Amino acid sequence: MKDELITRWDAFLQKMAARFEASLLQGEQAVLDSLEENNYDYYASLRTLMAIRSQVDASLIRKINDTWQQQVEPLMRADGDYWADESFKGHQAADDMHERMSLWQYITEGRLAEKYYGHAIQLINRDFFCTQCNAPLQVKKDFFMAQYVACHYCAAVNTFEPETKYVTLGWNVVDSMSALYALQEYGEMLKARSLNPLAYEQAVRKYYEKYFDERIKLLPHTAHTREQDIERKIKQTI
Amino acid sequence: MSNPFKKISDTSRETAKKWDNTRTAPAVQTITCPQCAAPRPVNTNIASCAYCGFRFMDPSVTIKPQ
Repeated sequence: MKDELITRWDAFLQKMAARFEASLLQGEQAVLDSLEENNYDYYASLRTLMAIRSQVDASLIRKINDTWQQQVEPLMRADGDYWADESFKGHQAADDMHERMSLWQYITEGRLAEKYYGHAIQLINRDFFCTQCNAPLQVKKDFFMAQYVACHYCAAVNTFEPETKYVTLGWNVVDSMSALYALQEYGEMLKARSLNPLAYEQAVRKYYEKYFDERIKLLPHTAHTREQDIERKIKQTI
Repeated sequence: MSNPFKKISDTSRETAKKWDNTRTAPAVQTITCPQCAAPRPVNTNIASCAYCGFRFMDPSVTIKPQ
């Protein structure tokens, strides 16, 4: 009876792990596809991502604990004293999935942001003209806010207001992209959590240096606050 | 086989809030003086018109503490 129960429990955990990995792949695809379907509504796609995470959590990760408590544990307890080791297997599998899920969200947010950026950055790839003399205006392309643009010909100050989808780039989009480009440092930071405090602090610093360097490539006007931004984030994290 | 999460993305799209203050196209505009219709030249005071001296605002106004 013992071997049969353990074999069935192992087979169940393997099946859940396989479904979990397949769900993450399908989930990422659904999130990326949703951008075209909702006409590049970034926040609707972000909601899709969070809803998928919630569903995978409810239908797969929590199901491991539920199945253990309601079906497997009573049978094993009645059969012998080996149930504690098998319980650990279930908890370990659920913990691994939670960590994998957090990483999946981190990466998928980055890929979603990358796809959105590719679309929205082109929205101002066109000429804009002075309202007074019709001369071409030099609009800053990596400044995702309204801006004053002085006409080089008549010196009139024009106010350029980009469309909302373009402005969105300057918020979560560049942050998620920067995080994606610092993925390697992020992984090292997570590993360093179990090391000594000094090693962890160094890993955190390395991560935020990379993160803000990538962010500055996307938002050059934030370069002058680089050091303060890094220190603030380190303080928040540690 | 269709994506099992398609229904979630459909629901997100259908239930998305329709904001009424979104800008769907970029715009360039110039604020002009209500008295002489001149635009503001670069590097000039935003409180008054550089051409006719019309005051757009009164910079001496102070905000009372609550």
